[in-house]
Amino acid sequence: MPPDSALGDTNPRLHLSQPKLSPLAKSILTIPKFALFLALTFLPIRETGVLWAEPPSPTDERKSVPNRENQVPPYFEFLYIDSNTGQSSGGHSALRFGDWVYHFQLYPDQIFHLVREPWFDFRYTYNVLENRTIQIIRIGVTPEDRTRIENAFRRYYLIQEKHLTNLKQLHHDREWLQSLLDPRKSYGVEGVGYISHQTQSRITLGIRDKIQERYGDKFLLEMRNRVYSKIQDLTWTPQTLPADRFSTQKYPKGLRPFSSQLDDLLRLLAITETLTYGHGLDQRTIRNLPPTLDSHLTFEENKMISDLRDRLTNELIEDIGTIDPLDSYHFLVKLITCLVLEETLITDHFQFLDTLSEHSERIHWEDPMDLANVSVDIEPLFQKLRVQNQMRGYDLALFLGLQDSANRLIEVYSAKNGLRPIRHLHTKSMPRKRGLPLDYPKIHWSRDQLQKYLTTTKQIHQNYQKKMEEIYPYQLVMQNCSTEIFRTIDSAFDGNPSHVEKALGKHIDPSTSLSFIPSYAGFMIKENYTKTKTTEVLSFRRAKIAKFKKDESSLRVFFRETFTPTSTLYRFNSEDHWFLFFTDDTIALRPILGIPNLGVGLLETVVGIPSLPWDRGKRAKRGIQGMFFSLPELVFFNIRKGSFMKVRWSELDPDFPYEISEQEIIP
Amino acid sequence: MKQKLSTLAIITVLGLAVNNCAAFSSLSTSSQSLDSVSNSVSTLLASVSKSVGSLSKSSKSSAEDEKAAHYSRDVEILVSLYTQEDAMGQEMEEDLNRLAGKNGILDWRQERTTYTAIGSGLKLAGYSRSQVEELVAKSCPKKPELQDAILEGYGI
Repeated sequence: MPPDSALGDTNPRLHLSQPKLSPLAKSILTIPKFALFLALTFLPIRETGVLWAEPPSPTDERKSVPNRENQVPPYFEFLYIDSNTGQSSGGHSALRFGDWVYHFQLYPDQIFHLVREPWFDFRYTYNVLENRTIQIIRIGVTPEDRTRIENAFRRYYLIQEKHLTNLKQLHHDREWLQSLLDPRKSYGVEGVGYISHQTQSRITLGIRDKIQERYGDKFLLEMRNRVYSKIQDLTWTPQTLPADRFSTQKYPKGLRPFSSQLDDLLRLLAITETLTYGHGLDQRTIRNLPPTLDSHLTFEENKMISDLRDRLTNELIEDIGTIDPLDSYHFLVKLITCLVLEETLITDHFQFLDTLSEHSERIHWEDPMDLANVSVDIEPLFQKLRVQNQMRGYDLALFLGLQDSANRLIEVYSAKNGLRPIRHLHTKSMPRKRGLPLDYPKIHWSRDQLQKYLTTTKQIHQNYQKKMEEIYPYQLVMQNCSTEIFRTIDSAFDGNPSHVEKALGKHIDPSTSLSFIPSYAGFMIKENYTKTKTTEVLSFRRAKIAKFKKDESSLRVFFRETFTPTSTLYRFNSEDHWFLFFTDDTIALRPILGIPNLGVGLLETVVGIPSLPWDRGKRAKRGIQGMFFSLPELVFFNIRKGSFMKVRWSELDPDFPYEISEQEIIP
Repeated sequence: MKQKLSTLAIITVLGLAVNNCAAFSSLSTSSQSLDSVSNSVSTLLASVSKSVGSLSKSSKSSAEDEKAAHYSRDVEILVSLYTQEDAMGQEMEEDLNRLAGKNGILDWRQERTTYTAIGSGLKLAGYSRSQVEELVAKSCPKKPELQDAILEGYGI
């Protein structure tokens, strides 16, 4: 089974749209996906920490990274994220260790996931898109205790991630068995879909010749025969985990169902076939940059791409000698990358493999201007990434990163031109098009056998899912984002309160205090943990307003930006119900501004009633929610912060997310 | 062998109970049995060492250093988790494959970071220097570069 970087990283706040193609339709959209698509387009840039600055010199360091991994700093940070509407009305908690944030979230699979993501992603999502202020409480500890606590979170994460992998394996097995039962369902192995049996490539022919020279003329044939036999010898066995292995503290045995083994072997078979016959790339799987972009290779790029192709070729010849089925995906990625690099060199223009699947989630855009803005923003960022890669020198990882960004860029342009939804992936895309070798052994199980295997697998899968919900449950008060942080901290000290107290200053028990409430958890930490200091990362809107006030009259800024129709920062989007006034940055005026908000919520409810038969009450429901979140404003409380899903890259600070000064301290 | 392991495990647990530390705590000073290690880490090393040529340690930016360090920490914890279990080396290879992929590393077998992390994982799990030296000598006898990397990760 190839590595799956998507596992466990899917944003639970996004609603998966049905994969429909509707070129002329404008659908209601969940804009977060759109904005995240843009954010994720620049995963490689984000990783370099440079958005708008000039390409760094080779010796430049990324700015103000809280810690270097080889020096353990004597602190870690508790993050309290301010509330917003929807499921965030109670606020949220997280822990930050250096550039990585750990936080608990309930996913649509009803499992309470420990999410681990870079500070960039976390801050972009919560602080910008959701416009929530983040309070960072730095907790002083010894480096040893910091490592101990961080390790506890890593352990929790790795154990859960293994369980989730097992669950996915079982799901894959079900799909595979279903496809065998139903001839209408096609089945293919990831990565093989890029190979064409009708074309040849001098690259693969050259690799074949070198392999034969090194390992003998019969090497590929013998390898092919061995793999073929292994496939024929495969048997299906139920993959289960003993009940006592379902624990948040025990690393589970891996499940390796039939389908995973078969995938790897079929892929290996495809590799031997490709090399034996010198197959080339399927031209339909290649994507070109939009004509508005200069995709012509510079002299330096040409040399680097050529060197990379040659290096990969040599590695392939080396690797084939000891290849294991587990390595088949990585080997294939190298091989098809070699082929697309060759296409790039032949045409002297960048060519990329299509890495966005037809089964990807689709983003429908609400307003053509949104798409136009994205396409304008994407292009210079892509070019910057390209220049940075050129300065660093290409290796496989960098090229794959550029390829991922190129795919997203091309996708936006294609969607704009074709007026169609955008294919999207939440994590870095890899070449995963499915296909099969030309010749492979057929599975000769009877229909009854297949049905029996499928029924058993389904049962095992459902049981596993149920167990996961039991060991990773979510409960509003007893097991939520705050309680699990404290419990995981406890596990770092073996559940011994006195050890926790010695390390941190106090043992906070979420089951006997109000610290299950994120804001109260932050308060308890500030009051009781030793050596804390607090900084605040203002929400996107409040940070911008603070900057405006330096150049304009505060009163003018306040009135303009508080009233949503006149705000230069806020653009109404489908994430939000109707509201007229922001109330998060004023306390005294909240009741006054809350009344019209309540009124507008009522208006939206009334407007939603006639459309009930068509939108299934969506508009009316939003109106009721709008009223609900306006009520606290009448008594000086604020929950709603609005959503800023249409923020453009140019509106972010060039040093985002590291532009926050460490000197911003709240006394 | 099982009885020996049980006795040693009990002694280990009792010794640890006094200090109230978990088996995988870095504060553990009791020596661990190599039996559970040999079923996972040593099998992994023996398997990997057959195919590994020279190890790479190239890094083009601080961002890549951090990515490698992050991967390294994961491997460290993974190794410490495996020392608690009786899993086979094949399974550990699969897990390393997956972890490496998640961290954007395709050639994890060629990455020096993988082996230094294994070394530090063994240290985290409480293995003694002599045990680790013996382990690497037995598992990858003809791969001095691998041995050096593991021992370096351990802190030797």
